[in-house]
Amino acid sequence: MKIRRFLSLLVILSCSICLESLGEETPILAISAGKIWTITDGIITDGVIIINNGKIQAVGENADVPEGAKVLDMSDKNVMPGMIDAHCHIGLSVNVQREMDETVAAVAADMQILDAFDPYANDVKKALRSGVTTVLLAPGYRNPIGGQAAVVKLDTSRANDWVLKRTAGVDFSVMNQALMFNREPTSRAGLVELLREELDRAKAYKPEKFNPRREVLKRVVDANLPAYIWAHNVDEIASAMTIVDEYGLNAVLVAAGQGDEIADMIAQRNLPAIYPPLLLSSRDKDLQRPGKIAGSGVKLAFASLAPKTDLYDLRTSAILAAKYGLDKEAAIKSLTINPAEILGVSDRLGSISRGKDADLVVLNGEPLQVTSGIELVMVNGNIVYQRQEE
Amino acid sequence: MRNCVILLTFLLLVSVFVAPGRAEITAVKAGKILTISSEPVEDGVILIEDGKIAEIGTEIEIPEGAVVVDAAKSVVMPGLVDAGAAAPVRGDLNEQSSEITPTLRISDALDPQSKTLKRVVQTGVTTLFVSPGRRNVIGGLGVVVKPTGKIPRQMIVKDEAALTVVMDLDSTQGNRIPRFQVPADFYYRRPGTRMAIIWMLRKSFFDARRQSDSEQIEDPNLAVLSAVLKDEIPIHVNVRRAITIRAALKVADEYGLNLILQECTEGYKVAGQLAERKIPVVLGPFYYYPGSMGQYREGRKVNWNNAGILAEAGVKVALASGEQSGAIDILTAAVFAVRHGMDRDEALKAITITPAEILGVAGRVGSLEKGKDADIIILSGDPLNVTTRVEKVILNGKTVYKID
Repeated sequence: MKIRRFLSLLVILSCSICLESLGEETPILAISAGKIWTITDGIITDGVIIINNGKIQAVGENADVPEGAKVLDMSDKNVMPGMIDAHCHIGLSVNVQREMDETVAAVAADMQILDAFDPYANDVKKALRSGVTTVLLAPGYRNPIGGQAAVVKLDTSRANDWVLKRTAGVDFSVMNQALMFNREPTSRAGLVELLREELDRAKAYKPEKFNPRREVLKRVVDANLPAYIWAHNVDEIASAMTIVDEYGLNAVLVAAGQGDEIADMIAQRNLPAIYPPLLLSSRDKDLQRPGKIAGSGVKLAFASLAPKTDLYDLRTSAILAAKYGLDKEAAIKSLTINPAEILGVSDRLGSISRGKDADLVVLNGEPLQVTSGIELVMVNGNIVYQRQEE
Repeated sequence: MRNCVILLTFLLLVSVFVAPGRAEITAVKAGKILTISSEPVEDGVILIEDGKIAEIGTEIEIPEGAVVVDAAKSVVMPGLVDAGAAAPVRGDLNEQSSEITPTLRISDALDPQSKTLKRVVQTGVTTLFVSPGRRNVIGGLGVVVKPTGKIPRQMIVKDEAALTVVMDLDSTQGNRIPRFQVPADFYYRRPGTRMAIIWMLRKSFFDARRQSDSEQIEDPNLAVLSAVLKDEIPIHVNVRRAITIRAALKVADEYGLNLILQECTEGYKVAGQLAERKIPVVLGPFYYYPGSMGQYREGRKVNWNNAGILAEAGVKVALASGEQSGAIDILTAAVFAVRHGMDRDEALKAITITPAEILGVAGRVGSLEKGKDADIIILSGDPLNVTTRVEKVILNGKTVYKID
């Protein structure tokens, strides 16, 4: 009896060792693609991408395919890097409006949005289906200081390092929506004054007397951590710039819809702008804005602000912007390398180049065509979505 | 055709030789110039260079290449100054989380795209004072702005122009809880009565005075209040009824404050006292229909002869349109004030140089003088005539509004 038990244990152990060794030796993957949109090195026609261990090992027209590599034939398809949504609120709960703003306190700098994130939520799968592989999860805009944003990869099932940054920045809001009738602040002037007071206190913070809220705001004041400032209208952006100037913050404008009106001032301060989604129903004037703001030299990234709009709208936004004056190259950059740089993950993501993560999207047409559909999505070299033929 | 070619060649020459390196000069030919600071000028010319008035008078040669604004049949006067205008602000004007918010700067909430600004310009106003609302005892710091610029900072003429204090019952609005209920939010707060308002005001200044001698004032609220005590920031007190005016004067005596009174609808009852203490008043808003006079509207009535009586007693009077929409614009208010006994010149001053002096910006606006900002309005006729229209508004030398 004892021997049998021992034998069975031995069998199980040896099996698991075998499995592990198999897992380590993931076969090298080679994708032969019709067009590769590398973003940083232009477009490669009829090229090959070699993927080893979840990273891009080589990319080029005549990259050597190693022996024993599994070859994916995509010779009539377009391949682009996985898209990055620079601001969204997916995976929170059924009632997102309730989950993204802790409105009991006006200043919620120590709260982390990742604590409320459900990696198995339906809209995470939806994001992957629409070609978005990395997102900035953000708290909402109804608090002057909303909480800490996080950068996550959406392949939460197999990859074990899906949290790229637990604290990617702190979300501020100077929008009218941050005002409430029954808690401080109730006015825009009061809001700016509240931010000043909070940042002044953070400046004077001493780590000996630990305070989680001040601890994180201290990093913001020292410009070690980006401040994501929600500001849509011109006056709101001006308020944001006032705070940025006074405290020398490392800031990013979020939902800067009317930024084009004062694009020169934004460019002068080197503030990147995260743009709210454009819809087919948007007015012509709004559709022209991204082109104008990018034309002034502002670094632009699109955000879906999902679930406010659909995650599919991320690529649509860039397409519409390109139709209404945004440079085509800039449009595709605003979905990939620009958000990667803004979120501080461009060493791993944002382009198809050697050494970066194999987060790829395969489309059956050019990325900036409305008719192009998504065929396959890959995160860290694993296929997470493939279109089923019917 | 030939004329056209000549004109085009001329324009080309002008643009090639004149434009670069030389500031653009605008010349306004006026039928009549009301300079306010000195005698009116008939058939005069105003030269504008770099947004400032370079020259003003009758026999002035218009330089070549100058842009000529022909107003030979019109009356020209300085852009109006509204010492209490509709606020171009998005969101609430009041920070309702506290009764005493001296550090609140309304300049942080300015909205350059506000439609209010466009409306204000159409009434001939080129400089306006924006103050916090009237739901706080001490509301915060107001700002003097011009309706131009893309971001608030470009609009501002003078920030921290005055501290706004409200002494009527307006600031008690909403401060009630139904009986036998638990106070749930910050609307359960003092004050509920006039005596509590005055008590809060007095206590704030008492605390500030105790602090004002120390080198470093930690509380930013007290820092602002002690700047007021040292007369570095003027104080605008919003009062309507004579009883409140008297209370305001008493508090001012206790702390040595130099007041500027706003609204002051019952000012005529204390005209002598105000004149004696040299307290300027900003009257307004004026309404055709004063509307309901409920609990918080006490004293909000339209006494048209108020301005005349105060001015005759020797009080410095300015007319304002008030922060709420639906009030009469200041040019029309001046007409009605004259009709009810105010002196013509006094009425014109009450919408130009007097408010500029009260706000401390008379060095830049309020009259047509050499070196001042080129804020000019062109009127179809005598300004104190109800049928007169504002034809054109020039702000910092640029035309910002004209009628079709």
